[in-house]
Amino acid sequence: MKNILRVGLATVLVILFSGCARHAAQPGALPDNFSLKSSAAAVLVDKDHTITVNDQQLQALAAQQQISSRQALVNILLQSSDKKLQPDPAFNKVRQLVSSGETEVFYAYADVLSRYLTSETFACREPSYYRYFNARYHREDHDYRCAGDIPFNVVSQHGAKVRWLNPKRVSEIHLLFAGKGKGLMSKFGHVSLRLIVCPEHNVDQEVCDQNLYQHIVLGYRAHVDDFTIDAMKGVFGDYRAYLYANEFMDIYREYAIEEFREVYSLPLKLNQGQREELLRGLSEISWSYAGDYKFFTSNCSTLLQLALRSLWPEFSKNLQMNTLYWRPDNFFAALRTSELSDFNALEDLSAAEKKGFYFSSTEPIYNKALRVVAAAMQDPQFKTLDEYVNQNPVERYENALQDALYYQHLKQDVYLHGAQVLLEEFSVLQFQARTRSEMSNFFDKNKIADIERHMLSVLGRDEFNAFSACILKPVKAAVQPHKTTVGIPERAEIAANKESVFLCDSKENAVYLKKIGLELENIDPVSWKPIKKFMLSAMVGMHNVEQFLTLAPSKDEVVE
Amino acid sequence: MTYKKPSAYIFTTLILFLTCTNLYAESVLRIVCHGSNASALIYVNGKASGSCPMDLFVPAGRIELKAVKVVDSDHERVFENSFSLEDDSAKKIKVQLSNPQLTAAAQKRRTAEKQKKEQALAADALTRARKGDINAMHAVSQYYRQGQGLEISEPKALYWENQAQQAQLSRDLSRAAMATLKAAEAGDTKAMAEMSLLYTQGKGVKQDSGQAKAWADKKTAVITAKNQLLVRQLLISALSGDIDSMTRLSTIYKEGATGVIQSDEKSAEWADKKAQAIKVKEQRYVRQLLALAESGDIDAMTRLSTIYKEGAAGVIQSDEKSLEWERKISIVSEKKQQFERAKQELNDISYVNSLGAMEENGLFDNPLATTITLPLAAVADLMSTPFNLTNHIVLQREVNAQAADWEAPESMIAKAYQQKYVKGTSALPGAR
Repeated sequence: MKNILRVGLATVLVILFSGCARHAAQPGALPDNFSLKSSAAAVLVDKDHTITVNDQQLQALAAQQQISSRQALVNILLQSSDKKLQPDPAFNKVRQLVSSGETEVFYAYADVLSRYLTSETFACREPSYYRYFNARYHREDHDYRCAGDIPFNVVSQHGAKVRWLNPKRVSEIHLLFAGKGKGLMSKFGHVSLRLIVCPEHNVDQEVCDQNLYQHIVLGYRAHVDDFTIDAMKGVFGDYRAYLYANEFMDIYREYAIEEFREVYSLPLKLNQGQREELLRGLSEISWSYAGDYKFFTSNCSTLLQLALRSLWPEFSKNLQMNTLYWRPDNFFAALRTSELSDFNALEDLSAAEKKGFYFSSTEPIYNKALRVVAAAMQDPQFKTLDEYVNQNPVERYENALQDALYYQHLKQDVYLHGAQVLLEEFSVLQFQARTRSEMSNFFDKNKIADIERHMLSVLGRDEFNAFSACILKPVKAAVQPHKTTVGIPERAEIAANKESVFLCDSKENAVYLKKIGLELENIDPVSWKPIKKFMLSAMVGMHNVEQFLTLAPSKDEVVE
Repeated sequence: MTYKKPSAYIFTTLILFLTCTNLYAESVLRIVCHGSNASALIYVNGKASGSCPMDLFVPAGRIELKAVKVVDSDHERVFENSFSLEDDSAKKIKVQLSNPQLTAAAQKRRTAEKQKKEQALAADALTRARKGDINAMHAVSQYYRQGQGLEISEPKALYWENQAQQAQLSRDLSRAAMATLKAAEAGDTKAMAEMSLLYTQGKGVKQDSGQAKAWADKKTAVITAKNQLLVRQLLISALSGDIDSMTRLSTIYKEGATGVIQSDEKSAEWADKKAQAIKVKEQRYVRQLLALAESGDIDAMTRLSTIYKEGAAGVIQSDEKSLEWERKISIVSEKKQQFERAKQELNDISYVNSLGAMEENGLFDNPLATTITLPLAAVADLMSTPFNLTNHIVLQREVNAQAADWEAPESMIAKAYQQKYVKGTSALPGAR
């Protein structure tokens, strides 16, 4: 209920303040010695909209003002009254797609155009703007070819890690649709893109399809951006949207196991060139974009459609896709029946599940495991998965061992043993999910900046490093993707930002983390209590899994 | 003086008269009988004096008074009294007859009849005693001792008593021999030996050396068969690994036995086999203890610590290993305590959430609620040592695909898992 109210309030506030411009980072005033006349000669757009830059004049101006050539160019562009050097609606569309939209549009135009005109890496670093300027200024695509791997900042359970994807290894891109969830916010499903990443040196499609552990999911998701360090903090707590990259198996766990949702993976009809262009564009968005997330107008579905319209010409031309579907399920349904996707992939769900186009909810499987286990026990203390999970996990394990007949069956019956392990694993996953949920509440409630300040004051240097590496950084990574100043970063930039690896689960560092845990508890004991309990339940559950695994019967002993 | 009755007056007058006149130096005796005592015949000093009641003069001195009244031919009622009378004295005696009793003649007759009967009994007993009747012998001994039907004779009494004892002993021996024979015939080797002895000594049976030898031979044959059967049974169980059987075989062969030829060689062979079997058993025992200990059984760990400390159960003595197990015991004990604490801590975990409620906590598919994981050690104040973090990380990595792997092995999720973690090298050793 609280969440619903928050969403409602935020939506109302977004509407009320929708006219308010953000003036977060305006450029400085022009220098006194700026000459309009000489500057006009440095950048020219002819009748054919062809743009040219007079390098000599530009450098002279830069030298005169003792600024860089690019800054001089920005100044020139800002002062230009030539409409052809000012932003147009198409620019705004691209800008909405790949930026945070925080700077004033005229400055943004001058800034990006200056890079377009001066930077050699612009084409591959900012491909969306590159396409836009080429189109506007009628420039030919002279030897424009971006080779090399494309980076994505993949957020997983253990924090964020940059993965460099060779586009040749992405054999397909699917629209991933998670069906209706039980929550209010997921009643229309959720859409994202799934990159079918092949193993190294093997692009056989079947092998690529099976390489699920390396598949990546790109999707627009939102979070109350309460703890960024700069001034992005919304007055009333805007919801910010980013294009996140996640590991497919994390997404599968979230939807099919934790939320019992159906997941459909619809192959998009893209050739190799289209795929590469789309990938590069998505990478640019994932590194650069930050926008408002509004449940009805700017959500995972609409933002993805806008991105596809911009990055995939066939999509933008498709009549069915002329409509902007705000409901993810409607978008999925429309795309499914369009020529843009392989409709046949989802014709037969049983076959689709075998081929990796459909991932059924695990609810029936866990319920079956529950029935199998309950039937084998003398006196099962549960009737539903809910009841199973909410048992004291220590007692649950003890009960299983004390049931002599059940224990005997467990050691002999592979199927029963599998069911038992499965239920314990389910319990672990549930408590991990509950922990994450409570963690989210904890950081929302206590504000990450306040927590950081408190920890800085009470922890020693090593302890704070551990806190930073194991908690602060993953939390920040999860809340806001890693961002560069502009476009797709290069290897050198990411390598420079790379921090030393801290082994958060190592025994050596456990002592620091124990202290950290106690200090976090001191901040808000009430909110920390369920986190501790859920963590402990997950840990005991994991221990139960380990113990049950030691009872595994040999499959050879099974009597048919 | 006043007399209330005339008779008293008369008696007094008579006494006075007699006294005063002094006609005779005699005394007066008045004998009175009332009721059924009346009419009894009175004898004074054995002389019939008339019937009662009566008064009579009697000389002074000792008077034997007897009153008799016949009841029937054999019975009479009698009153006897003896007293002294002085001269010129008067005495009144009130006769009170006894209950009917035998007359002297009847008594004599009856005594004669009893003696005749006793003599007949004794004669019969004597006859039977002479024929070997032990009870009759005892009776004759008694008759002689009491002179009952026989002339009293202590030597004869002792003779017959001795005869009776000997006859009893003989009869007891015979009965015992019969019981022994029955047991021997049923296969009891001790009874067979006993029978042989009885026949040799003629106790309870007629002495018979042939029978004595037959029973001795039979006993040997039976013991031989039993011993050989025992050895066969011991061999079977020893060959199947029974250490007690090996021990007994070694002993039997060392000492030899009826039907089993003594053999130091075989005895040593079984002693060796026993030692080997003990070694194997100890090794198995230690292996079992190790397996149990590895699974966290504190009792097994304690035993292992003791075994290593003492060098028992075939292991090489090692204080180091003993201490190592002691250390593990303390770790596992701590672990158990921690689980007990966890159990208490988790007594109520159901109050916050239920399935499907996760989503409501994360706004708009909140990425924080999806991906962030708190390092386990951050709650290490609750649980520290019991968890194998490496295993947890591996399990965590695999756990997503387990449902599909269990029930939908043809699904892509299951195939991907199989490819990566089962056919590959990342799976937990021994897991699944």
